[in-house]
Amino acid sequence: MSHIDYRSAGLQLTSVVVVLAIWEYAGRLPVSEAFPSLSATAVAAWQMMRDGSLPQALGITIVPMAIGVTISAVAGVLLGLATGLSRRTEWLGIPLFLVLQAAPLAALIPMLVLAYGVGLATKVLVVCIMAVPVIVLNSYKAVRHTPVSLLEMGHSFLGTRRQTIFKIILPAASPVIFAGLRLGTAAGFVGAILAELLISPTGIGDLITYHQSIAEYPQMYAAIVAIILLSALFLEFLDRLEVTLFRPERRAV
Amino acid sequence: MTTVEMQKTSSTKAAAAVSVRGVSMVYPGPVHALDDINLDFPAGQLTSLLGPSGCGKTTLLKIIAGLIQAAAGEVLVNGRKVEGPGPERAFVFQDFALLPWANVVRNVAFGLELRGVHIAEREAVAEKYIREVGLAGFERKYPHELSGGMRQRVGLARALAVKADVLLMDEPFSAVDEQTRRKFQEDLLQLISGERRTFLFVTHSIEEAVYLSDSIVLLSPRPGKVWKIIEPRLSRKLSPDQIRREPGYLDTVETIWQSLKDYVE
Repeated sequence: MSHIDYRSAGLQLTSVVVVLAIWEYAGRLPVSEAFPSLSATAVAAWQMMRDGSLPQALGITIVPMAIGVTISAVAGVLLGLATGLSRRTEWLGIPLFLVLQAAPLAALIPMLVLAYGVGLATKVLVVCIMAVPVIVLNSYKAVRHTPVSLLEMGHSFLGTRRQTIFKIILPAASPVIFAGLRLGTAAGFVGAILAELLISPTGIGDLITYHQSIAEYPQMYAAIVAIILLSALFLEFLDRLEVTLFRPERRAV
Repeated sequence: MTTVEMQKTSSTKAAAAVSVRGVSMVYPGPVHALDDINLDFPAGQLTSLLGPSGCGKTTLLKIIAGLIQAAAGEVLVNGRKVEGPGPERAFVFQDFALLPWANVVRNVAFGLELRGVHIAEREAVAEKYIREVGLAGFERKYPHELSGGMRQRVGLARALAVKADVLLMDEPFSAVDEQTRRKFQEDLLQLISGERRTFLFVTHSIEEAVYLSDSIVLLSPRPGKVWKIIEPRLSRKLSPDQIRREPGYLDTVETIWQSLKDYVE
């Protein structure tokens, strides 16, 4: 088993190295004046770390992101579970979220700005409307798709409704709920950056727009890479959280 | 032969653990799944429900389990009317129905866990039955690390662990490959001889029914009706291999096949 794990880790590492090598090569060609090489970007990132502009920008961007994603995760999972567990509440939310999931939500941003201004509240709201639909729908589907035989098993061994929910439905639903949380978080991060680019330039969005306007492309790319890394790290954290909380059989492997 | 006959006579007099009275079942459609079933399942015996697919044998088993409500009629277990699942019955599922996130011990102890039995006590009981079904050493494994046959042994141990009088087994070996199935059948007979319980066993395999059962209820399809009851009367003193070569065993298999032939399209 561990032999295969080493191999897949090796393959992942190889794929990262290949992409980075292509980036360096393309930057040196150069493909475009506006496309810096990996090394130039890394140097810019190092400078921005030292002068504090990158950490400061991340610190600003992370606020609406964290608030929005937290609200979306809690509200979205609860709403999804409620609609999934009860046929009576199903009609309430699900059609709305199906429409919202299909809608290009960025189109709503001008309206939100009119209603709530250009401050933190609007940015949090943008994160939420991007993140909530997929979280709700995944939690709902996860609950609905609990294997029938497991429910019958719980019933035949005299499980109460409460035991059935906590010992069977929720653990069975957790992989799909967490898949929804990962997708929702990623969408929320997109929302946070969109808000900073479209509403008012702050944090990482400000760094990107500013360095673009003065043609400092390595710095611009450093800001972009920083936010991608943050997002990737957070998604990895969610994955570990799920395994720790709900999936002992994956820990055992 | 006389001793076998005598054992048989005494056992047929055994009280019925499960009585089915006028049970009918209609699914929306309407599909007439079961029609006026009347049966007594003697205590301490293994009775098979055998019939071609669509004869409603699994439906009947689930009605006895209290998982499905019958359209008409009633089921009595130890003289009490079935209103739903009860502690005196335990079910073994065709697809095992194991919790993938729980290891073997927790799965086997799950019935007791739902009844609020303390963890130390229920795990002790679980470990006893894990040994009995031949899974010692696999206590901390997860279902995905086990073969199909081993998974069903977990399902069987879970049903045994709740100490129900009546075990309801829904085609327990149908998802298990042939070699494993034979070994499992032999082990099951061994287990049954040590446990004074009543087994109801749904199967579509004639050989399996004849090999395992004290009596076999043949159901005819659409609508499911009791059609014949056959008692194989095999001597349990013979070894499994001897039984499978015995004329009595082969004749019974052949008789059942000849009777079922007409229904198989």
